[in-house]
Amino acid sequence: MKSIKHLLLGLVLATCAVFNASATPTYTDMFFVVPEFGPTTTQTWDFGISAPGALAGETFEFDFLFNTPPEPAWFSFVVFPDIAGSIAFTGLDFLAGDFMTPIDALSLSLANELARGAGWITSGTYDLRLAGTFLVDGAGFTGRAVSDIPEPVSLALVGLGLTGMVGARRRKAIHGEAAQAV
Amino acid sequence: MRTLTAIAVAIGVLTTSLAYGATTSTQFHLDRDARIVDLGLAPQSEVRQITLSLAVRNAAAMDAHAASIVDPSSPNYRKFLTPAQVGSLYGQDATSIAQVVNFLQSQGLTVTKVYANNLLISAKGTNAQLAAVFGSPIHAYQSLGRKYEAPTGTTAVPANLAGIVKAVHGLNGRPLFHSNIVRQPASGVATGESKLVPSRIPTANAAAASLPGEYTVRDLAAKYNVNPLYSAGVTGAGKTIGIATLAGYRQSDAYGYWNALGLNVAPNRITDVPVDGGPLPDDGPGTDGAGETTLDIEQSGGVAPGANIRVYLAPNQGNGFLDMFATAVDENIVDTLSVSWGAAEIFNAPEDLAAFHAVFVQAALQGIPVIAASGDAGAFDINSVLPYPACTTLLTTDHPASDTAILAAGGTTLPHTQVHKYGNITIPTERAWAWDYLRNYITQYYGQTTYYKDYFPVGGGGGVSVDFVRPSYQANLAGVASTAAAQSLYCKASVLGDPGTGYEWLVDLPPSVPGRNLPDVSLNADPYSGYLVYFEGQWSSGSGGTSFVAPQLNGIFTLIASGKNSRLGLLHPQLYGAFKTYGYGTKSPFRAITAGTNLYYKSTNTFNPATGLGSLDVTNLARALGVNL
Repeated sequence: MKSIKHLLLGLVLATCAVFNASATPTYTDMFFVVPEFGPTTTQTWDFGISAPGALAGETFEFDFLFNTPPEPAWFSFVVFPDIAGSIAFTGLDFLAGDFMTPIDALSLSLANELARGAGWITSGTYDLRLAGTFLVDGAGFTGRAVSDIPEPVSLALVGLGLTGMVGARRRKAIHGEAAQAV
Repeated sequence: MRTLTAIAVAIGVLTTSLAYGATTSTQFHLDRDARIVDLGLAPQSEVRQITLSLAVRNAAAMDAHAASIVDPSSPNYRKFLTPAQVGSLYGQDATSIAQVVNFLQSQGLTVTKVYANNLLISAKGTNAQLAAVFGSPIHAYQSLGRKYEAPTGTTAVPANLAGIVKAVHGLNGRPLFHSNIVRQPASGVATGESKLVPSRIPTANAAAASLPGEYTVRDLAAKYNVNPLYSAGVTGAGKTIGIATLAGYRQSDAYGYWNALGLNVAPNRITDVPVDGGPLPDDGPGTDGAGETTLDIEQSGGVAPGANIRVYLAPNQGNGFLDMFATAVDENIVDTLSVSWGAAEIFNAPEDLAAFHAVFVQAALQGIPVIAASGDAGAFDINSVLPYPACTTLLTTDHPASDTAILAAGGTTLPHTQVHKYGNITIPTERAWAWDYLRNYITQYYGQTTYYKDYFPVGGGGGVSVDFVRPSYQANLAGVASTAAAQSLYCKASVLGDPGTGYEWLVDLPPSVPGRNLPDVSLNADPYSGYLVYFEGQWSSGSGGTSFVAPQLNGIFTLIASGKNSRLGLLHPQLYGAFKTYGYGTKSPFRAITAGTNLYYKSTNTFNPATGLGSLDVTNLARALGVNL
C-alpha cells in the first residue's frame, strides 16, 4: 500500500495517559503521518497498523500525529479493522501534539469497530490516540483522514477511499505479501 | 509491554539534545539545531569578542520610566535621558563595574568597552582564556555552509560576578539572523510567473504612478499620504536616521536611487559605523545581505531625504547583533533606528532576549524609537528556516520585533491586478499580505508541492510572542490574541542532519499565553505590489518584505520627529493612544485592513495579529503626534 507512509517516531512514553489505567497496553507506539497532496488543496493522511505478531487478547494504544494545513480546515477521519471482528476499539482521544492537551474541536465517535471524528480545526499538530484489543491473531486496522473538503462530502469520500484501501489490503494479504506495516 | 517493532517503516529518533529554557514569562526555547556539525577544538590562540550583560537595577521601573516620558500627565514627559543618566538610574554602580573589569583583566582578557549605560561590558580574549573563564571548551562548527565557533557545553558566569553579571553573549558565534526581503519566485516552474525586470527606469520628479512591483518611495508617499508633510517643508532635515544591519553595501547604490528619483539629498549624508569589525566577509557588498542594507538606506533616506543617515554595520555572529544596537544607542546620535534582520524568537536564549530588551528600553528613555521588520513568513516565522512539510507548521514570531519596546513593522498587499501565466489575480482592497491568495492558482496549475515549496510560508510576520508578556498598551484591546493550541514542532531527521527517515520532536509551545501581539502597524510589503531596488548599479523590480516597511517607518517617524523638532520616544503608547482616540475615523492615523490573513490570523476592523492597528495615513499620524500641518 504505497500511499501509506507511517513514520515511526520511536517514542515510547510510559507516562502517557492510557484509557484504562489499570491495564498497560501490550503495544504502544507513536507515528507521524505524512500528508498526501491531492490535485486540489485537499490533503489526505493514510494510516493504520498491521501487527502480525499480535495475539488475540492483547491490547494496544497508538498515537498518530497529523500536522494540518495553515488555514482553518474541515478535518475528518475514519478508522476500522481490516477484517470485521478482528479488533475492538476501546478508546479514542484527540489531543495536541504534546500528547497531553485535549482538543475539543472535533466531534468524536467510537464503536467497537469504528472510530471517527470530524470538525473544523486550525493549523496545528494533533494526536489521534486510539486504543483497543486484538480479537484475532495478527489483526490490523486502517484509517484515513482528510482536510479541506466541504463538510457534507467529506465523510462519504473518506468512507469510499477507505473501502478501497481495505479491499486492496485484503487482496495483498491473499497473495501472501502481507506487510507488517502500513 | 512490547513495542510493535514489526512495522516496516523507518524508525525515528527522539532528539534528546534539544532543551527548554525558561525566562521570566512563559517560555520555551529551541537551543540547538541538529544540522550543526562539530569540527573539533577551535584554535586556542584565536582572539574573540564577547559582551557581558549586567543586571538591570529595577527593570520594571525602567520600563515604566520609558512609558512615562511620552505621557503628557507625567513629570517625566519629554525629559529624555542621556546614556549616562540611564546608567546612573538603572545600570550597575562604579564599584560593581570595577569589580567586573578587574576580574576580566585578572583572567587575561582585554576590556574593550564599558557602555555608558553601565549595563554592558565588552571584552576580548583567546578561546583558551574564554573557555577557562566561562567553563566550557570552544569548538569550531559548521551549519548550513557557514563556520563559526561556540562552547561545547553549558557556560556559566563566574561565581564572584554573580548578581552583577547576568549573562555572557558572543561565546556562541552561530549566525542566527536573516534579512526579511522577499522577491517574486522566478525559478523552476515559477518561471514566467514573475516580473523582476522593471518596465521603466525611474526618472527625476516623475509622477508617482508606477506599476505594482515597481513602486518607489514616491509611490509610497502618495499611497500613505506623506506628501502634505513634504509640502509643508518637512523633509527630515536636522534629524539622523539610524540603520542597524549585518551586511555591507555600496553607498553609490543609495545615492543612485535617490538621484534617479530626483530627491534633493546632501552628498555626504551617510556615515558608516562598523561595529565589532563590521560584517563578515561572506556578507560584503554584492551579497544577498547587502541587498538588505541597500534597500534599508534607499527607503528610509528616500522617505526622509533631508535627514542624515548613520549605518551600523556588525557581523552576523556572536555578540554582533547586540553590540550593534548597544553602540547605536550608546552613541545617542540617531533620532530613530530600524533593523530588518531577525530570527524566530524561540531561537534566542532568555538571557539574550533580556539583554536586548534593556538596550531597547534605554533607547526609549533617550527618545529613540526602534523599529523592526516582523518577518516574511506570515504567522509561521520559524518555518522560513524549518520549512513545511518537512517540518510541521508552528505559529511563531520574529525577534527583535516581538520585543515590547520595538515597533513591529508588518506587511500588506496593495490593491492591484497580477498578470500570471494562466490568468489574472486581482486584489481588490489593501489586505494582509500572505500568498494564500495564490494557493488555488498555484495548486491548480503546478500542484500543492510547488505551492508549499515556493509560495509558503510567505506573508507579513505576526502573531503572539511566547517570550514577552502582553504590554499595557495592548491591555483590553479588542482583537488581541493569546497563543493557539496544538503548536508542536517536528521535523524530518534528514532536515536536521540526523540519520533515519523518521520525524524528530523539537518543541511544544504553550497554549493560551497572553503574550505581546505583533505587528503594531503595517504597510505594503507584497513583492507583487512591491518595489524597485537599485543594487550593484542595476534596477530590479518585484521585491518586497517587511524589510521595506521597517525603513519606510523609520523615514516616516524621522519626518515626524523633524516636524516636531524633537525626538519621539517610545512609540507604542502614542500610537495605541491615538487609536483609542481616533479609531478608524476620518482623522485617524490608521486605516483598517479588513481583508486577508497572514496565513493564520485574520485582518479585521480591530487590532489584529495580521496587520496590527492597520496601515497609515501619515499626515493624520503626524498631526496626532503633534506636528502642525
